[in-house]
Amino acid sequence: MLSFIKKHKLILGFIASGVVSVVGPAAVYFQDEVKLVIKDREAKVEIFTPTLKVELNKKIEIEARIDSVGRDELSPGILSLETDAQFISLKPSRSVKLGPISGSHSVDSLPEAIAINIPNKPVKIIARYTSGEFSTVSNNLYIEIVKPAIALHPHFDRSDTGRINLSGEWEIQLGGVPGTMTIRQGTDNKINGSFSVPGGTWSAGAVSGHKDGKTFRAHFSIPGKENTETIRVAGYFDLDGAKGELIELEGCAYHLLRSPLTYENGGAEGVECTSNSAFYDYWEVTSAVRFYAKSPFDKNE
Amino acid sequence: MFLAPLGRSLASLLKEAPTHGTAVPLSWYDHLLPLLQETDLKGISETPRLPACLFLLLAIAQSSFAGTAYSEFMKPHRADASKLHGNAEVVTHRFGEYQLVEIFIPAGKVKVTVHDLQIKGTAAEAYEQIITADTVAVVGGGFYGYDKDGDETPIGLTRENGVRKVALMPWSHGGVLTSDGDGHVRIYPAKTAAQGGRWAFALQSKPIIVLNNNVDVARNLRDSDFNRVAVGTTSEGDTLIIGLFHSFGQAGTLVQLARIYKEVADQRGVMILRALAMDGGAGAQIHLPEIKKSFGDTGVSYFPNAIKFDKNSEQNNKK
Repeated sequence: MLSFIKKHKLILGFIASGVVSVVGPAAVYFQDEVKLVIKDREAKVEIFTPTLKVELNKKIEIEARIDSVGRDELSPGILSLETDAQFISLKPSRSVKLGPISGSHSVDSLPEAIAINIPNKPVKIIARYTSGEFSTVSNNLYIEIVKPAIALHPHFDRSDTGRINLSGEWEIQLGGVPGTMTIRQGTDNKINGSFSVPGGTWSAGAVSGHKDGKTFRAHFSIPGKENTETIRVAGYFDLDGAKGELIELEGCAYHLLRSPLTYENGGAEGVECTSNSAFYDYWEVTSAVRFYAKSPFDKNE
Repeated sequence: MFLAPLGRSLASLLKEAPTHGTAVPLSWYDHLLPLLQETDLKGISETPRLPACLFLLLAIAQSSFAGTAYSEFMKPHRADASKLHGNAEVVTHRFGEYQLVEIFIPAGKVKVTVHDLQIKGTAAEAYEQIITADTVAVVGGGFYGYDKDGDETPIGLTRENGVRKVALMPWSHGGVLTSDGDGHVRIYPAKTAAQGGRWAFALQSKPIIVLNNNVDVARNLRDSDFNRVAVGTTSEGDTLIIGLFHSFGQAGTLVQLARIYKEVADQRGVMILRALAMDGGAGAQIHLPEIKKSFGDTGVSYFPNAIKFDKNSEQNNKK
């Protein structure tokens, strides 16, 4: 071998210098690509949730952690949540941008996930992390979306900060006669339930109506006379008590009879509880009484 | 094909069905009529025709509640027109248990101003403070929410006379109604909502229901029957205000409002660039002091702001 090299050293030297002169500049030119190829970048992505069962229209708490387990730092990338959009909504978008990662990184700006429909089986959520050419997926989360349980008390709706949900049991007074009202408020602010005033003119029936802003507008049914009579309840609610632990609703209840009448002026409902203070097209107000309701309010629910 | 005659006879029966003096909307048959009349169920034998027809009737009746306000509006109904200040025109429609108010204001004829009210009371009490002899209309404004103590707080950009009263919300939809307070009105979509900061008056709301004269809103889980108001503009600067009302506040969904809005715009022959929905429910209000009429919930509520349309005296004087 040595004798071969000695014998052909001139030619071999020429070839070696040629290789160096070509490969050298090429290596400098392609250094980024070369580094990329030989970089050791690995990551493990994990997603967690404190509860796998979530009520409809509630936020799904998801946390994510990315562990860089390769030799080299992970360059800036994107973490995306992937799920069935028919059941879980991701806002404002499904992806978040991330900077370079070395070691372990908790992602604290994940998209907001809201359960928007009830499926017949748990819904899968995964996270996909992409950094340049590198991509990996997380473990699977299977979220069960269930119908919301009836809240015991009116409360702030956590899934939509700043909204009040009137669902719960209320003590009421209909024309000064005490009773109870149990209602449930839907996602569209519609209200359904029942009332009971054992000593009153109208002792029991169904409640249907809606909440809007701070107004409560409902009909209390008169069983057997649903097509010709109704009790229209119009009120305004406020939080009360030193710490807002009570919610009170004040207004009027109007006994209405079907009529062909229409009115140019609607009056003002829920303010003065008299039969000539509020008017409803195709109904006649025969009497009006004060309506009052109160219930404990849960600020932290 | 075979069911068509039966459909037509059933349809005619339904059309003539008395309402027994009640005002309960029977709008489902509005959907049923054309369907029955156009039914062409080839291959169905003689025997199952009636059950099939009844099934069709039941299925359609079950699925057609959403069209109530729109379908009632599309029937012939009473409409009264009046002239207002500034060559504006108001038309009030009555159909079933609903009322629709349309106000058309030609470009440059009124001054549009936004008012930060933050008043708890009836709408009449809240608007009394801003109405003048020149006022053409006052329209309910944007949204409000609650602070941590449960107190009401306005939501969305509100600029009054060059002063920002409430900050812009980073909503991905909706828009900002802007005015220079001197006859120029424009609605910016959400992506350019920051432009609202350049105008003397601005009010942010959502959603945009009509875009380039097309319905631009889809039904969602929260869309329910409420009183509704929307304000739209043409590229020429004309303004069309539409309010949909019901005695019990259950007038219609945003989709129904959008369809009616487009229908009214088409009937007027105006091309609406954008129409922006204002707060619905108790906040949906239209007050017309000149003809002493008001539309909307009459009870106590919280009114964060309002849009006022005043006769543009300067414009009129110039002319």
